[in-house]
Amino acid sequence: MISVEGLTRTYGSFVAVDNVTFTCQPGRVTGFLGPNGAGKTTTMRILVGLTPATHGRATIGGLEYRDIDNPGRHVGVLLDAGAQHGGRTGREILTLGALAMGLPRSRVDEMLHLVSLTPEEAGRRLRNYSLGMKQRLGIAHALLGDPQVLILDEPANGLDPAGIRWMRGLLKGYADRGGTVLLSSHLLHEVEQIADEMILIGHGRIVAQGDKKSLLASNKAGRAATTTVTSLENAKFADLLRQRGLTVTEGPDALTVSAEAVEVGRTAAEHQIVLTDLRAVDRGLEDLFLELTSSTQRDPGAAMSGSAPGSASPSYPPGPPPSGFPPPPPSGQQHPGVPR
Amino acid sequence: MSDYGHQPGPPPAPQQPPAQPRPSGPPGSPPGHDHQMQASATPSVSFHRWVYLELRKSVDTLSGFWLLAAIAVFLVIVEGFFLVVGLFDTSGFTFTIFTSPMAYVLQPLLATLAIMLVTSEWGQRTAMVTFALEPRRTRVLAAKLVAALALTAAFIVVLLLIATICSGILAATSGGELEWDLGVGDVIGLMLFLGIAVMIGFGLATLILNTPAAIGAFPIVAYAIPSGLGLVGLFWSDFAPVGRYLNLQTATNPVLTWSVDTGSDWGHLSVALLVWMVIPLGLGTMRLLRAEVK
Repeated sequence: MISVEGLTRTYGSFVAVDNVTFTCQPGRVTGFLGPNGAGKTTTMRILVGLTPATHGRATIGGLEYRDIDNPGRHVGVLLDAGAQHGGRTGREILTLGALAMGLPRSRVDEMLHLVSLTPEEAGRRLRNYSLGMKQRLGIAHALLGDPQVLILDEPANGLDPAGIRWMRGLLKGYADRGGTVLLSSHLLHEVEQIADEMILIGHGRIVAQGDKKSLLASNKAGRAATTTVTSLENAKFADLLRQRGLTVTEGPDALTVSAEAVEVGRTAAEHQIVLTDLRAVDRGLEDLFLELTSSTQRDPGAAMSGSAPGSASPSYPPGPPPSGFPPPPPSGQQHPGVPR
Repeated sequence: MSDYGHQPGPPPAPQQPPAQPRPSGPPGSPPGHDHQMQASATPSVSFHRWVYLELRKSVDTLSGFWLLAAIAVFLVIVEGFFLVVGLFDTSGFTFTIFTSPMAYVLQPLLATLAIMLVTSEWGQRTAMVTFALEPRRTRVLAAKLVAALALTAAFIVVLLLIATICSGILAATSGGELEWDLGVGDVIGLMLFLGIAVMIGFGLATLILNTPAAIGAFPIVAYAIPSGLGLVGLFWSDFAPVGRYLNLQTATNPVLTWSVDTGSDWGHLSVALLVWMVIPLGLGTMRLLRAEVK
């Protein structure tokens, strides 16, 4: 439904979007993921005709945005929930949208109800709205025209946890009914839970794309397996593992072993060591995300990639991520920052 | 909300009558499985609807409403002052005393109104929403200009009403001596004179796209530059005839009095309008068409 081919946008010598190509299918939620300034917003702005592209083509349903008659009825857009007149009430903003799309006024009440804005809140002026309320209003505005395609830039921004869960359900249901959703975020956790497809972007380039499974699989293929294990006799077990030629790091509670879990378990069985915990370290998408985009991170220390901060990470060509990632970090922590 | 979350139905019908929106339902009930956009299924919203939208946008905020109200109140105050003067001494008072001079009061105010219609979209960043709903930006711009001219016409009606009331009071108190001298030319002159001011403000607004700067630019173009040209002409007589071509005030004054008669009047008016109205509006429109809407 959304098709972007070789899209490039430069500002002088700065390349904001660099030869980006992707598609978004109906019935699926596509997550557009990247750190701040990676080019997500610029790409979305080009999609809806607010920013001209330097090269390349972006179409929705086979048409360039400017060629769609009454585009609000086909494409729901939320780029910046704050980009509304602060002196208008929420209801007035939706009414103007309904007028501009040629919709009946009753649609306004339906949308207010859908995003759980009370009549009292809808009568307040936007400048008195919290960020979460603005976001709800923005989503209501995007859905006004009953579009087949949704383009949402950072839609979860400012929503509370309940609001994020609500939006997740809303967008899932929308996609299940055949809608196409493209949403961006710099928070992997959000996208991970809702997106069927993910596009990772850094420095204006797509560094990886695919569904969650294939992204993780290609990530795993390139690296040695890591297992954390806890036993009743950690010190003794560490020695036994080392005798088998395995690299062991002793943590305060657990051992981190550079081997498959089955190998560690077999060692324990042979020596009748009682294990209390044994698990394969499945490095989450967050590490992948940080690695892939580490050269664009503002804070290089945030990259959990074992490599020293500031060391340039290889630049990945667009397409599926190549194998050969840096070795896993020595610590046995999994999914840092991702609550389970 | 009866069809809340109902199952995907068939793709939307390829043709639907205008102004007959698709059966509405919460998010994208049925968004449709067809990959090809049925762009013809949803006709564009008519131009007069966009004009209505722009008029509505000019009054639906407190600032917009009070700008309109303040202009009306200011008119009443100035006319009231004229009336008080007239009550003391009716000699020389005619109906047009209450109309034509008011053009100079309305000129900067209506220009400001036109400027705000354009620049507030940029200041408040609503242009992002507006141009996402109507990618044909010239259409939006044209609707704004028509809305600005419609508001101008409305204020002329208000002005004539107030002038009629004031003249009536004056005529009643002075025993019917007041001359009701308003001709068709006076009304047309008033409309054209204010229409020109609005278009100049509109052009400056599209070119500058910044509320305070554009509001500041209008008096420079309409008053400061004409005064400067006049002063230079006083001291440098060779320049005076050239200056008249750029002097917006002396060039448009004959419009107000409906007396653009001589060839040189027309020449001055054409050049002044070209320089201060047509060129800024043209450049501004080009800028707006190419601008990245932030």
